[in-house]
Formats: sequence, C-alpha cells, structure tokens
Amino acid sequence: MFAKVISGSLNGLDSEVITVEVDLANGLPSLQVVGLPDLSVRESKERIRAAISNSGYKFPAKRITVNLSPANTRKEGTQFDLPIAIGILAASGIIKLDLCEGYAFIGELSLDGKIRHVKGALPLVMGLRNKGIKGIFLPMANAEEASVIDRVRLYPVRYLSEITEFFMRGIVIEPYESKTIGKFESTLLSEDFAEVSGQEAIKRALQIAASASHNLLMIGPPGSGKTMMARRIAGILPGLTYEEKLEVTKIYSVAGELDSQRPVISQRQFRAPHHTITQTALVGGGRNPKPGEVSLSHYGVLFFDELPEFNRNILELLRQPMEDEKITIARAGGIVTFPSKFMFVASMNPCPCGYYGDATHECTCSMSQVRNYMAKISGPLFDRLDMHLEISPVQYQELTREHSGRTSFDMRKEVESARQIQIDRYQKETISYNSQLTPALIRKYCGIDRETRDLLENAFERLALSARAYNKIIKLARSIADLEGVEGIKLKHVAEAIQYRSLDKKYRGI
Amino acid sequence: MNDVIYDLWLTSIEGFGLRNQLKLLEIFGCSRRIFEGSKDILLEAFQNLDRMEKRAATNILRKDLSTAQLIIKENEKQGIHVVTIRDDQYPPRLLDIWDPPIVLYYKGDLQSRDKDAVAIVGARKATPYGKWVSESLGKKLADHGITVISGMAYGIDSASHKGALSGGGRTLAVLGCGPDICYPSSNRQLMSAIEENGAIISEFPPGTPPLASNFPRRNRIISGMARCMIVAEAGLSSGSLITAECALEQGKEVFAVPGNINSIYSIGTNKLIKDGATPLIRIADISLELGLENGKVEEEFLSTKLGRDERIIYEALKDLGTTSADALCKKTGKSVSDVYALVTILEIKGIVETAQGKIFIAK
Repeated sequence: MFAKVISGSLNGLDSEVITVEVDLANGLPSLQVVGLPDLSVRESKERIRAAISNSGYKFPAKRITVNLSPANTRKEGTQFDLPIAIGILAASGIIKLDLCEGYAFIGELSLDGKIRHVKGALPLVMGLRNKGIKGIFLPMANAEEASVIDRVRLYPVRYLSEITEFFMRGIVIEPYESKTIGKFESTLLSEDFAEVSGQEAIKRALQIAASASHNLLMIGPPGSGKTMMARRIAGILPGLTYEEKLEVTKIYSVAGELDSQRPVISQRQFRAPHHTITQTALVGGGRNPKPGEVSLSHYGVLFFDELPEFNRNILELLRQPMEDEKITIARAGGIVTFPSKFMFVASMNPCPCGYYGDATHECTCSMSQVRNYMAKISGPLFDRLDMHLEISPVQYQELTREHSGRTSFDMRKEVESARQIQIDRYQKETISYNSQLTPALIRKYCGIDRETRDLLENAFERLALSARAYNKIIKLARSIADLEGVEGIKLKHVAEAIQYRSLDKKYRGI
Repeated sequence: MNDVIYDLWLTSIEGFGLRNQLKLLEIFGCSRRIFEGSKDILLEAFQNLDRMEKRAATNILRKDLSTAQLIIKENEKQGIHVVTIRDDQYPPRLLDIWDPPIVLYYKGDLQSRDKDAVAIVGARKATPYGKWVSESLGKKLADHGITVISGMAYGIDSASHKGALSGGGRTLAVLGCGPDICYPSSNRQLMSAIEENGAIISEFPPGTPPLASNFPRRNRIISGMARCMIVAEAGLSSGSLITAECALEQGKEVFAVPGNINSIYSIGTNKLIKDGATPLIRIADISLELGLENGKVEEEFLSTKLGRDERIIYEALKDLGTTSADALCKKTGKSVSDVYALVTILEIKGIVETAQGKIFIAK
C-alpha cells in the first residue's frame, strides 16, 4: 500500500516542495525515513507513532518506509511530522488517498496528537502556493503569520484527528481569514522623539540620516541620550511596503521569531545586539543556516551600543553585509543568501570612563587610553559611517521644561517625502537612496555650483578634512536638499553637511 | 672635544646626583680633572659635597669610561649631538638657573636666536579650546620669528609645536626620555618635523625610558631655556603647574590663559592668575607683552567682514562663550540647519572653531 503527500522544506528564505512517499509492506514492524532527513526529522517517527495511536487510530504493524523526495537535498525541521502521519494514515486506508490530492501539510506533532507551531511557515506556504497548491493544512499557531499572502486557502488545525474527520466525515474546517490584514498597516512605534527634551541638533541630524539611510555614529558621555535617540530612529523611517513587510516577515519566520503574539512584522525593526554577540548570531549560520542580526534588521535599524566594546572581528564581519546588502552563508547544509539592507547606527563614549571632553565631570583616563579607545574602530568601518555626531548631555533646565519638540510623526512625514524624491530620481538606476550613491552617480546627480565648490575647497584646506570625507559630505548635502525638497544642492546644504563629520575635525585628535 | 667623554662619564655615574656633580665640577673646574684626580684628592673633595651614597663614591673612584663610550657610540648611530655646559652653543639662559644640566643631548640644531624663545605648556587632556589657544599662540610667535619651546606631550604641548610649525617657525621639544625615544609614540611625525625645524632636546642619554620621575626635572629646562612662559590650559593636577613654579623660581614671567571659572580644565591657569601670573586675554596680547606689536584692535574690522546672519551668530557666540548648536539655535531663533551652515562658513573664515560638539570663537 502506497501513499503520496505534499509538504515543503526550507532553504534559506525560499522553500521547495517535498513529496512525502509512504509505503506499507509486510514484514517486521518498523518505520524507516529516507531522503537525507536530519536528526529532527528522523526523531519524528517516535512522535508520529504516539500521535497516531493517541488520536484513536491504529498504527499499522507493517514495515513502513517513508521517502522524502527529491531525495538528494537535506531535510530539516519538524514540519514533516504531519505529512508523514497523514501519509501513514492514507497508506493504511484510514484516509482515502485521492481525497488528499491537491492539499499540502505542514506541522509538528506532539505525542497526544496536537499540532504545534513550526518555524518558517510563511516561506513554506509561499513556496507551496507558487507551485500551484490550493489548500494547505497548517498549525493554528502559524495561521495568522501565513495568512498575509493571498491566493491560497489555509486550513488551521489543532489536532491530527481534525484532518481525518475533515476528509472522512465531512466535518468542515473554515479556511483561515486573516485578522491582521488590517493590522498589517504600519502603526507608529510607542517611542516618540517628542519625549526627547532638547537635542534639537541631533534630532535634525538623525532625520537627515533616516531620509537616506545614512549609517551613523553618535559619540557622547553616559547619560547624554544616545540609546534613547537610537531607539526612536526606526519610528521616523518611512512605512514598509507590502513586499518589504512580506520579506521581513519571512526572515523572522525562518528565524523562528514569530508567534501568536507577533504573527507578522509590519514595522521597521530596531535590533540592538549586545556586544558579546557571536559571529554566527550576527551574520547568521548554523549547520542549516539561519538568519542573524544583520538580516533580522533588514529594512530596519541595526544598533551597536558601545561600539568599541564589540570584538574587532565582529565589527569587521559587518563590512560585507553593509556593502552588499545581503549575506551569503555556506555550510554543510547548503549555501543560502539572506538579505541585509539595514541602517547601521552605533554609539560610543569618547573614552573608557566616558567623560572625556565633558564640561562637568573630570575624565580619569590617560590620553593614550582615550586614543586607544578610538583606535578600536578600524578605518574601513569608519569609512562606512556617513555621519559622526557629538552628543552632550542636556542641561537640567531643558529636562524639566515642557516638551515642545517635534513628534516622530512629523519627522517621518518629511522623511517619507524625501525618500519619494530619491526613489523618483533613481528610477533608472539600481539604487534607491542617497547613501548608496557611487562616485560615478555622485557626478551625475550631485552637481554643485562654482561658489559651493570653492567653499568645499576652502573647508578642506582650513578645517583639515580628510579626503575620504568629500563624497560623504556631498551625499549628505544631497539628502539635506532632498529633505528640503530642493533639486539643486546649494552652498548651505554643503555647509551644514560639513558639521556632521565631527571625527574629521583636527582638534578631536592631537 | 675629547673632553666630552669625561662630561658624559660624570653625568652617567650611577647614584651620583646633579647637585653634587655641579659642586664637584666647581671644585675641579672641568670633568677631565675630576677623572684624572687622585684618590686622595677626590676623597677630600667629597667632604665638601652633600651627603652622598656610598656606591656613588666607589663608582667615581672606579673611573669606568665604558658607559660614556657606549653613549658616544649610540649618539653616532642615531645622529644625536651633545652640547656641554662649557660650549658656546649651550643655551645661555640655562646658565642662569641654579641647577643647569651639564650635558644636553639633542637632534636637529640649536641656534643663537633660540635665546628669545617662549615656552608654551599645559595639560595633556586639553579641551578643543585649549588646543586652539596654544596652536594660535604658537603660530603667532612663529610669525614674529620667535622659537616656541614645549614638551611634545599630548594636548597643549603638541598643539603648540604644531602651531609654530604651521607658522613656518622654529620649535624646540624638551623630552623626559632619551632624545631617540618618541614619547608619546603617536607623535612620531611631529617629532621628525620638530627635528627638521628646531631640535629635540633632552638631558637624558639615548635609551632612557620616559619615567614619571624624569618629567618634573625636564620641566625646569623648558622654563629655563625660555625668556617667558605661557600656561595655555591646566587643570588643578596638571604637571604644567610645576613648570610654572620652575619658571617663577627662575625669575621668568609667567602668562596664563584665563578660563571660565566653572571649567575644571582651567582651574590651574585661573589659580596662576590669582597668584600673580599675567593673564593673556587675547592671542595678540603676547606680541604686545613682548614688545613686538603695538596692539591694534581688529574687532571693528572683523564685524564689517561678516554678512548679516554671520554677524548674528558671531554676536551670539560672544555672549554665550563656548556653547552647543542647540544653545545657538535658541539664542538666535534660527533653525539647526541654518546655524550649522553659518557655523561652517565662520569656521572657514577662521572666526570660530568646532570640536567635540562645542562651538567657540577663535579670534
């Protein structure tokens, strides 16, 4: 007796259709899974055996062979529990085989026959739909997450027995109706810039950064509000489009970070890994690669608090995903590519004790300590930072004043229109915002007039700016002009941009 | 010339202090005679010295020239020159202090015009303002052809040397380690620039590490070689206050740059002023004090050079002192973007400076 059931397997953010073939033969009772199953799949037979008997069906006392086809790719994950169980039930005649035609199954079984949450439900469902599957049985806990895509009927199930009753006794399971289609619209984050007292200059700088996803570094003593401001950056980035939301949700689905509390990702994410993070956790990896922080902050903000505390090789690892906007991981389990288009925000104290340059606290570090602290960040990483901002703590009077600052909502509206200008401008290019401008594109889109060129030349001479600052300043000036809604870059835009390069200033060193 | 080896011998005797070296030199006239003196004569001479360690006496009597020979060899290898207290090139002002070094090691060259040099000292951990002050002073002095002396440490010292060099002037660095050792090591570039446009000077033979105890000793040479001294910025515990004390003991005039009374980085200089140092309230003051210029006031001229908005920022900065962009916005009622743009323009015109998030007038 033979049965064939459809399911899916993850490969990075994509999935492929897997046919689960089950054969029941006479012989000593056994259950064998072939087709390169990994440990979690091989263990499934114990769960399946218990789940079938505890659901009130007879587990066939036959020699059972299960083949996961195509048999040459590695299979991982617990989502095969359900299709194998259905295959066994169909092969032993409890479910009529031809009724299962056109349906796919994903889900993990517990010993009592419950169907549990699996990782990566969204990409699995997307892959199956794209292969023309019309109906998918999946765990109730994954239904909301998967329901954001259309043109497929989702049958949420809690128990294995529900499926047999659906097929054999005609008990109706209503296809799942998404509850979050409405909620999939972005809502504003709870943290608002209006709560930040004073610091108008930094808010302005962060708005410029957000308008074109410029990477930035904030330097300031403890208590100056670096982290507080960083947390609010995601809230002033433009809302995600449907495709972007889907992409981010897929990443979170594969990483197993979704649950019924948070079934879909509809907002730009703010990720702030601790400085003890491992390389694998940062860029992704594992035998069967999982996305890391660089991918979890895709279309969002990746924040490194206390940048110099991070291990040097962790910082160096950031360079490739920052440059390529994706990360490719090769492991025994296969080669996968995860997107990693994030805005990088970092903060640091000016010295180990934190008070170098502070007006009221005396710094207890020696000058060589101060220098070594700055030197922990390599030149190539500095090269990827468009803006360096110095933050001073706000005065007490400022803190106690009524909040009258601008709200994140106002700031975001301006950022959105600036982004739209950029998207329109770069329609014919491969880039979509200013921070991605290459030197060739800068020449094309960032022309400056004679007067401005003179100013820039003088600035380099007088202020001893480093040569690598040139393109960064032009790109920033482009963003400042876009934020203002002006097509031509004016002298004042360039002049303002120069102030956002504080580490290039000479009195910082010596 | 051959006698140099005896000077090196005398100054490198282990356990034998500078004061006794000078006394012995006074008794014998020159170090060669000390070396050639018989045991009895030497023992008698020792009676006139301050209490000295036993090993110092035995070390003298052993008359071992090997250390001196080593120093000479090392000097040749490294291009280090030696000037002794008897030489014409010896900095003349050092002869007036009560404990002049018997030998000085140097790289670069010493010139007679270094006699009128001015010392600029201050804290290592300086504010951008302090660095700007010392750099401007260094440059101003260089403009008048005056040599700048400092100690090549981080902060004020480095900024002073850089100021003098950028003004095309001469500058001398007196180190607390051997003249072959770059301390702090990140100043290597600065060190070679000083060597080319002045000299690296040290009382200590090549190879001497920068021990903490060397620095107070080195400070008396900085003040001793100069005609007057400026303390650009100093907190309460800054070593530059020791240098200022040396200068006062040596009868030199001390200038101090005043700071805000609430600034922890200026307590030392403010205290110096309270104790009688002359305050420098403008960069140009130094030229006046040295009789190099009749002090014209450039203030009016400056404000006519500025545009309307630039002048608003300038006036606001004059009111606020060292301040932040936020405070400037509030004071002038302008937007952050306007303030930043204007500050950059003023910076390029050389009227303000910004660093570490602070903006201040630099004129």
